[in-house]
Amino acid sequence: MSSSICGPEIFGADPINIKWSVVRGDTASITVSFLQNDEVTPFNISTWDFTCTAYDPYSDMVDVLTSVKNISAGTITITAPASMTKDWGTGYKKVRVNELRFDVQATINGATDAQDIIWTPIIGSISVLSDLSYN
Amino acid sequence: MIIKVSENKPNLPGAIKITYSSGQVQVFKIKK
Repeated sequence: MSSSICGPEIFGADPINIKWSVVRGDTASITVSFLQNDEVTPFNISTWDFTCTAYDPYSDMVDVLTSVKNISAGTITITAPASMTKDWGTGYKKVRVNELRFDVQATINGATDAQDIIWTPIIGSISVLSDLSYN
Repeated sequence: MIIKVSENKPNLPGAIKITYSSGQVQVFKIKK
């Protein structure tokens, strides 16, 4: 019996994977900076459009988070308003009441729609911590 | 025999930095 010394290698799309902690009922935001190879200079995202979506497996609901682009800084700021996060989980007995999936998708606009490129740079989870104080 | 496999990718950034509202920062290099 012979066996190959070549195991499968994994290539291709490999978005970064982050875990974002959010307190239920709080306004939560993160800033994503797209940088050139020197990890300092902003990358040109002037022709890029972004969509950020969260999925709650308990309620089976999809929430679209707001994303605001800053072209000169090469950043987007993603925000989940308090009016949205207050519905992310129920109860008070557990510290962690829910875990949502989310991703950030970029549309790199080409000269025509057919030349647009879709790229998902970020996937991850939103860990929701229970709150006690109520507005 | 050499087999070369390459993936077509657009011009992508070299890194992504995440800044949380707490001030925590994470930097990830993009595989190209």
